Amino acid sequence: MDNNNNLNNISIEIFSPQKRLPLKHTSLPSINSGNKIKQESNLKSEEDGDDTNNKDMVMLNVDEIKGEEYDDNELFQSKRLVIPGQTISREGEYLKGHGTFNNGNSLVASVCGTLDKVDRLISVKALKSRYHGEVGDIIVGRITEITSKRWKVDVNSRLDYILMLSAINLPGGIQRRRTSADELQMRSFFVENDLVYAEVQMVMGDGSVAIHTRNQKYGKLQNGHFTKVIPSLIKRSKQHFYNLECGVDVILGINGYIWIADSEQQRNQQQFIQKHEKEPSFDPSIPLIIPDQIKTISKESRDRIARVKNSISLLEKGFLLIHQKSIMNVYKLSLKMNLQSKDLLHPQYIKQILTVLSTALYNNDDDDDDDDENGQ
Amino acid sequence: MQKISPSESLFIQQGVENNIRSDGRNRVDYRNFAIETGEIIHASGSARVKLSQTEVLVGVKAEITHIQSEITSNLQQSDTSKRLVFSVNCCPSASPEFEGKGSEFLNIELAKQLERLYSHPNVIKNLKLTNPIISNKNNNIKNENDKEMKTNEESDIITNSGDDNCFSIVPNKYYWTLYVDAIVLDSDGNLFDALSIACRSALQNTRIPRVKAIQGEYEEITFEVSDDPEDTLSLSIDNVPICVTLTKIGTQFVIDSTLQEELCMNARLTVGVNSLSNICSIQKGGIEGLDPTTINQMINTAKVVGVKILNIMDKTLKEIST
Repeated sequence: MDNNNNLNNISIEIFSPQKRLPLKHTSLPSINSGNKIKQESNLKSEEDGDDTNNKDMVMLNVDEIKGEEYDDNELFQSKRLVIPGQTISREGEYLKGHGTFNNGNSLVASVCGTLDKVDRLISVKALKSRYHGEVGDIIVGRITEITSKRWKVDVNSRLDYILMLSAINLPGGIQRRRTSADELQMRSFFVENDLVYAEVQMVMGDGSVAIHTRNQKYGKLQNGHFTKVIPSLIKRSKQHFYNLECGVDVILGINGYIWIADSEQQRNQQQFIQKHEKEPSFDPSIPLIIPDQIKTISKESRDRIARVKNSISLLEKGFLLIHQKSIMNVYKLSLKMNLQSKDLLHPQYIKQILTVLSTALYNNDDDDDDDDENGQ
Repeated sequence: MQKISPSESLFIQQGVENNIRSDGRNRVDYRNFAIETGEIIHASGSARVKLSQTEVLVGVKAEITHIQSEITSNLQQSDTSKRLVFSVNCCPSASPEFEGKGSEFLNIELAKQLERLYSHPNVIKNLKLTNPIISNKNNNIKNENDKEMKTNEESDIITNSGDDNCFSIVPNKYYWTLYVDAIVLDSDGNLFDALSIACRSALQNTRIPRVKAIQGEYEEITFEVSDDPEDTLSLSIDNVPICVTLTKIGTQFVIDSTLQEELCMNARLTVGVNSLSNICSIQKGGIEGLDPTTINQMINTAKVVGVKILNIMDKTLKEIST
């Protein structure tokens, strides 16, 4: 019945974006010195939310570059953003790598992304692409399939990664030998659709990737919320597991999969599992059932989790890097602005917060890297 | 395809019971959405609705249909509800599972849902051409002055009251048929509502050219389309319904469910509501049953929410079109 009381408070708003301006070939005089500033403004485009100006900028940039002499240093000193169809260099000057092709006498980008140069090989790393694993990456994945001695794990990559039975920590002792009985009860460790927290172990020659969970902190993720973002937005740092100061645990997988849970509940759960495994009557073949009182999460914690989740999706909308500090920035800002956690979905507030963030970005940029150490 | 583990599903379920969902909304909070109309230039009418990640694009194309045999199929074919043809296509870009024939069932389900929403004769009868013109009079255009034509035409306008069908050009022979084609570009739950909202907006945006039917010598009929591109007819969408989907998760139900919530739903009720808060259609989905008291609660909620959305929608659509 309480539904009816709430009904009067429903607020639904419809936003109709202004009509998009058509792309225009503006014929402004080309200014070579102004080039760099324009590139910067391209990079910031999403932050500003100022689309209309920006489209003109991009077009302008292309026109200018076509008629320009290529200066190696200027091109590669900073990671430059290119758009599809943009000329990178003349043919023969560089070798073409991924994301580029030869068109006439020039090397042209085929995707939107940053230029990557290794010796004479040029490739464009797309901003919005699937995850590509490297050894040591900390990721979150979802089990898709169980085959003999291995699990297949979806990690937002082109193909499913492999988690071998020998690459997991079996419950009850790290040193325990793997028997054929373990092979028969693989479903008692991980079943389909379970989320796992893992690390990339090895990239095989045929392109398949093996991951492992052989560390206390890795393993199955339970009782929390899963969300996903563009992988290139996750900042690579020493660690990807954070206890945020608001009492929320966040795992930012480099593959763009994110796990959000309540710290206190997770701690209790961990303790319970460890206690259970130490019991003499422990039998790994019986799947552990976590009692309900450990699973329950208070309303306040849920609100915090929701706020963190919405902060992350807000950062994604603004195409800003997602790391502990940026999440907390949005989180605190939203509290300061007296917003409810659901208000972070409101386009107007999103715009406001993004504006504040983009203006404050330069002041806080320097101490960005320090925070990696204070995470845990 | 997005999957969900039992523990995540439990997390969402508990959240629903606690009246705080994973994105901070309560059970009866609707996400804010965006409507754009008139995006497709070559369609008679179009609209795009973006509800969080869910994105649907609807185009309306008006075509003249000739009904051949008056006696046999007159009743069915000239029926107003047959004058709207719905089709929905879920793009593989929304989800890899839609690739190939993967979306076939869902496409049919969504299209049928829309068809049912618009099927009630009263709903359709109210969807009138605002300026219907049925003129089967012989005209000698060459001899007549333009200005005189205009005045003549105005006097020729036959109001709809006498006619059973607003889409008729020549009663029992030629009718307008509106092909409503929807594309689901991205999906983050609540497709039903998004589609119905997009369809309604597209119909509001629809402009049908003024057509004059001219009786030739041997009973043949030719059409004359008005030269002026501005000289068009629009539809009145005052009574066109939208649907509100209520998803039951655990013991409670929510509106405007996300994809993750839809993965752990028990049952679903889609209620069509028009601006007079009349119920226009009800459809139940999902595997579990619903008890009568819940259904009543759901319908009441749907009515309130539906009318609210419709009010705001009409206001916004008016703003866009001016």
